[in-house]
Amino acid sequence: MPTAPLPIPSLWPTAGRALLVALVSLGAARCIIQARLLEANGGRRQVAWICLLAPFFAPALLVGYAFAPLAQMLVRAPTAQTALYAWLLWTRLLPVAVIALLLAPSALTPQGEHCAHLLPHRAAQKRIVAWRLRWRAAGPAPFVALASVFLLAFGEFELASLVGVKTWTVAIFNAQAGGLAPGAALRLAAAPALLQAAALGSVLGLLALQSKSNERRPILHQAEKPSGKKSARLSAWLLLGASAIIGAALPVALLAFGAWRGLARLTEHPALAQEIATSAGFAALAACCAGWLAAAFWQRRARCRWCGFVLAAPAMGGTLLLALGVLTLFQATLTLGQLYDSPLPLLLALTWMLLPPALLFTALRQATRPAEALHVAQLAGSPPALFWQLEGRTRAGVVFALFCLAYFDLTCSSLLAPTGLPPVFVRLYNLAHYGHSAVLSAMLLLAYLAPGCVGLLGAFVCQHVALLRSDR
Amino acid sequence: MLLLGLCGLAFAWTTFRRARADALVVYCAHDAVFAEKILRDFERATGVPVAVRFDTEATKSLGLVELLLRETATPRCDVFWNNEWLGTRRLADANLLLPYRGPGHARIPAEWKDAAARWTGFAARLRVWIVNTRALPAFNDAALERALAAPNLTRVALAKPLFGTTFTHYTALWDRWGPERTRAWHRDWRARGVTEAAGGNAAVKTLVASGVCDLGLTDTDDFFEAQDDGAPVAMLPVRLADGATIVIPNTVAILRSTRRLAAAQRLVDFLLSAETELALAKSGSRQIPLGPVADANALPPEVQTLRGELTRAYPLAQQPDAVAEACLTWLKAESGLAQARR
Repeated sequence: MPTAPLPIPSLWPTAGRALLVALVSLGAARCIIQARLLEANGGRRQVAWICLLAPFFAPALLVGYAFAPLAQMLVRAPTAQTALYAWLLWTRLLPVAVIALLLAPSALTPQGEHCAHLLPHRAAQKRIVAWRLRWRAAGPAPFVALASVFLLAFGEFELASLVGVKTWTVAIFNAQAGGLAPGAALRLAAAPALLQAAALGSVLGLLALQSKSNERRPILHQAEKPSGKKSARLSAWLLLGASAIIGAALPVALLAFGAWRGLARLTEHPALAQEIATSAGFAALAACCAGWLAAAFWQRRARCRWCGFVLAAPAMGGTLLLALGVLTLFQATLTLGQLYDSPLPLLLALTWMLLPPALLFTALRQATRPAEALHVAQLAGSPPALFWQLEGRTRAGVVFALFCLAYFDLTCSSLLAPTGLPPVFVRLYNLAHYGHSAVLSAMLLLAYLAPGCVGLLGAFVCQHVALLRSDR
Repeated sequence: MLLLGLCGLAFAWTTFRRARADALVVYCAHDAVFAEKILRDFERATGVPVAVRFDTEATKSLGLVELLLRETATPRCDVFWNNEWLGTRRLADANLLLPYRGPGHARIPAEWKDAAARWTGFAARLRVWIVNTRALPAFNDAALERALAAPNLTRVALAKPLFGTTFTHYTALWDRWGPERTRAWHRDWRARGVTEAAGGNAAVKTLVASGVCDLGLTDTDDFFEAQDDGAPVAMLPVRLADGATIVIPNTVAILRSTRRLAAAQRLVDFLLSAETELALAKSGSRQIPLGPVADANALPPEVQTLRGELTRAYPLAQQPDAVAEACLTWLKAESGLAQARR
């Protein structure tokens, strides 16, 4: 007999907070897109993209550790503590809203969209016409952005745990640590999962309806210079700056400031290098698997893409539910139980976790792929270095982005890592609960910088291999 | 890319299997910062490789105990080093622990070990009040009483009682006061707005040391950490109505499912040795040795003082099983997750 969903603490406050974060993110994302900073030519475009994406790639542990003292100061003012958490969450999820708005298909052709923007809106009647047209032009994008941010904010666990905010994910994690079997914890999560399924279903439904009849939105085309009013551009820069400073720059600066005194004591922790290598190993494998799966789904027919979306859907519910699901699978199943204490459960969970971003990145890559140039290069028998420049480095960039997301994971790792192969952030998360110290800051900084070193090394090797092959 | 992934997986799997075949698997609820050094010393001294799984500070000890209870079908742990004893006793009651009477067990006094030798206590710490001396400069029993009688307790901190030594503290109160009085006390404190620190005893220490709260309930190891950091803190042992202190030993036990019995016994003897107790006493956590130490003067002065409290300790080992069980059930109900049963 099916069990009725159980009441779970903090469910509705979490949902309300997630909705608020989603609405604010949507407003901010629209402001940034309308200022066209991301489409401008030259250095400003790159700065805008870096500002936008930096908080998304700053690990929750780093941000949580940096802001933990402030959160503790606010422990007797829960509203302020929650506001801090919501602010941090907003900085992390703003890129998701922006990319969803950019990627979701429009109901109008690019020409129609341009006309909609040209329409004057001073007279009341014309204003209504203009708004209706703009509403049509926006298509499902605002809903997709809203639902995506809501989903991620609602299922967030790591930051909430570090900042000390009560969410349903923290309640479930604590219940599971307090003796609730993973299966029972999943049953407890039935109500939030239903809410997530509804949000996800509406996104997929809207996308399915819209994608049948539309041209692709002309994303990421470079303009000569940013358009829009000066005040709009200034607002957009302020939003991007606030997001990048709070979500990435400030945590890194605080960490670096505290870390320099602890660098000399890193030799007392010889296991750190091994743990970084373990994390990097898991992340590299998961990134390769997820990248390959996403490419395989994307290169086939539309039905295959939808299979990919459906397969990726459970991962949109947050890493906690995903990890609990995989844990249940390996603990409760007799055959898989043999593999319970192996690297496989963690690898599976990480790959699954990466599938939604892998599909998104693949879509982005396909949208910006210089197909004509590649075709010409192929016909002309161009050297591998050119192919690397045209396509290879973007592909490597996608794998590196996936690698970073997996490397910084904490939830799946803490629930599924096999004994003897501890990923670095599990130990650092544990140590972070003892409060700030110079040596811990140094360890965190080193763990944070490690993927950058891997990326630089990888880029160097790939480029030189391509050049060497070209010379031959 | 797939080929690369598969090769990587095969390599990782082979390395992992080879490493794990020899390694002694230890689940450790003691603070990683202190336990790691001891376990590495054991590796160096014996040549036995150790694979450790630590608990998080927020869900201290309970997380690993529950994990061990869940893993009975797929056991992987050989030795459990718990930072308290209630969870270890639950494992003993579930018949998961193997009796072992080694030389280490023999040197620990009877009141700190299981009569059937399924677990042995060592290196204890005390439950204490930590106080910010800037907020409460003259702190003594009378000042404590005044502070706790205030209508607003938002400047008093304690960890979640479901986990770690805060839970042990609750069971002692449950035993001495009975269920009704403990429940009434707990609800009264919450009604007066006591600050519940989500990050365990360490978070209580941080709240008091930083001046966000004036006083809190924690353990001696956390207090000494704050003191070593130069924070303006003082401590006062928690005393029950009869003046008894709450002394919480680490416990070590061998899992019945172990496949590396000889190595597990070596580790247990190593942990229960006078050298390890002395090392833990000299560490930042200042654990109190329970067994005899050849040269008591070698102990840090604070530990020598705290050692005097051992004679006044609340007899945890004699606490009836039903006390902890009933208290845990009630606390789970209080946390709002009562309906979700295993």
